[in-house]
Amino acid sequence: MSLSTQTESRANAPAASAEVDASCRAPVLFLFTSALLWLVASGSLGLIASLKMHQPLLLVRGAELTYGRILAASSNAFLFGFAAQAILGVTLWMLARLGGTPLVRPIVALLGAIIWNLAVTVGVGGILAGDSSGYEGFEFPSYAVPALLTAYTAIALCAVATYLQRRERDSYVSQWYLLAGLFALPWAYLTVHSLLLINPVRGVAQAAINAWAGAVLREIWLGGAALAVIFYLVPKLLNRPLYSRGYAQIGFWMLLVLGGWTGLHSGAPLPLWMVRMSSFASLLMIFPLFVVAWNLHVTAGGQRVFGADCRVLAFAGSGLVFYLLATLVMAINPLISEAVQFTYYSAAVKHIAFYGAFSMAMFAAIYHIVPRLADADWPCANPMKWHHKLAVAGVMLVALPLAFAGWQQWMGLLDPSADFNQISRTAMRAYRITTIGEILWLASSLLLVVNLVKLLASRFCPCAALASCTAESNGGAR
Amino acid sequence: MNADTQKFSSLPPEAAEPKAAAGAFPIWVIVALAVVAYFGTVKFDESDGGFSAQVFAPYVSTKQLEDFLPKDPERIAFLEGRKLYSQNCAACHQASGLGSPGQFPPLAGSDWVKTEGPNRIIRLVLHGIQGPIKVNGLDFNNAMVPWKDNMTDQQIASVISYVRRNKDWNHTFSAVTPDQVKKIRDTEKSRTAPWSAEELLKLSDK
Repeated sequence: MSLSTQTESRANAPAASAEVDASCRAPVLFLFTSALLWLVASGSLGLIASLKMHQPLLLVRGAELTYGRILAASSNAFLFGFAAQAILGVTLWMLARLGGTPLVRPIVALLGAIIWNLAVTVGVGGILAGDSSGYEGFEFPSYAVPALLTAYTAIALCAVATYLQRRERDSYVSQWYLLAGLFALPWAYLTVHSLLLINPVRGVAQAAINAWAGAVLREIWLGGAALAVIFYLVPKLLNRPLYSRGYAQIGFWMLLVLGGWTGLHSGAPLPLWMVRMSSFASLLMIFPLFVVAWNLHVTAGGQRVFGADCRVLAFAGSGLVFYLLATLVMAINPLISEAVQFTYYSAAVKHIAFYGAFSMAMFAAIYHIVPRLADADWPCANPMKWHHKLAVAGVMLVALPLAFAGWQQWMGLLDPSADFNQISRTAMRAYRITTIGEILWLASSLLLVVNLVKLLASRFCPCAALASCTAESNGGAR
Repeated sequence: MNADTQKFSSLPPEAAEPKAAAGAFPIWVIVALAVVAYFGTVKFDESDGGFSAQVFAPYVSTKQLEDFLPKDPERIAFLEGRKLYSQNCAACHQASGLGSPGQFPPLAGSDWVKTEGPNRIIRLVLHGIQGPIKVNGLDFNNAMVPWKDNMTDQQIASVISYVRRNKDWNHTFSAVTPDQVKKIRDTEKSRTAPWSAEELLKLSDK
């Protein structure tokens, strides 16, 4: 009797982290590498779009490179090339690690990731070829969607199966957010696809559905993934338990319930109750925001998270600060959105949410996870430091000028006698600075890609002696 | 944990996977949430346009929108009549106006309604009717209560107009004005008993 219990408990004991990492190696490294390549592609397209705003004669050879297509291609490459793959990589690894069990069927996840990349390539190509669906955030043409769905299902099934087989029965906060995001993306995407593209509903319902799906992606999918990473890394790297499970639960459920309602602007051409409901939900978002901030504040117990010496923690801290900033600004948005609704201000807020909050958290995750999968530390510490500085500067240099330009437009539009062209020209002066921000962002992404290629080459390619810089401790593996 | 495996790794050892502790949850967060939610709902209720799909900013209620619609007195009287009919008449005569065979006579297509003038039907509604009555060739024997004390001239005019001009019943007879009702009410001031069909048929229908 006692013998069998002992055997059973040994079989159910959490797997060694090395075993877990080995099972995740192929799919997660593939997902992260291709995510970062898509990040560079998206950044390049974003830079061209930013340039074309004030240099309209640049690249005017054909319709493929017009502003509207480039911008949509850039944002979709970001969302489904970079963000989706980074989130899926984090999800697979974290569900396996926190569940104390090896990844289920890594080969299926790897195949899914390969198909996903092909589908995203088709989708971005389709947008450039003029087949955009025309719904913001969901511009991929219909013919790219079945392959996307197939690939996603394959990867998500591995993730869910891994979670169900977990040997650590108590779930942790990060697992909640990642699982919610795992279901949120296909839910939102299929709603848009079936109700707006295959069998379109009529009238204002289209705008309402698009706004809801956009909010689900922004708040639950991207925001939830950022929180999952931050909630994992802060206690892990500080080696302290998370302060309160109850706090985390209320933050999680409020985000889940309210997330999709937020983000409609006052004055949006939708029935009044939808707009008011959305404003109310945005206001209530202050609570999950506060709960997350307080929980992490007490967890850190006075240790620095934002601006920490450990680079991974510094990335997570920047992501957290940008997340709090973006959510706070969105919560007070209903008060001012009537004034700023047609200005660059909303683009500034979106930039902070996507490139500040979400991307920084994902960089932290990639810096933390990759050395464990490769079983080798980052070869160079300096690029990591510069990546952080350039990325923060890049986000600020896009968001602040956009916000300032938005403020100028707001002031201009308040004056009924002002010439609209003059308002646009005035705002364009600040807009030019965003091009510098885009360049810095692209440079910072390239630093990470180069660092990753060096790491993988030194680890997996025996002939390459690329790891030339001294491997001083940089916190990546700490 | 996992000291064995970490020994052979090139990475420094890492901390155990994070766990959530049971830190105290301050009740004032819940209280603050409830207070904000309460006042938010009150504010929302005042300005949600009654969940109507037709109310868009800057308007806040369906009443505001109705005020923009052109006023048609006959339409307003018809709507009032429909409301009164469903409250007071439909129990016996049915919403369809077909009544119940053998018990309550029909109004839709009824020869008592399809008269040229409303002379008899106004009296019938004012004082009620009792005893045998032949409607569209069928015999009924029942009682209808008087409405003179429960309805104003305006209301009686509206409900009879509704019955006489209801397009669903293919009725396109003349409407009844409150003045017509008042005139008959004054003429028959002394009457307290309900009418009989015989008495009414002696009167001119105009």
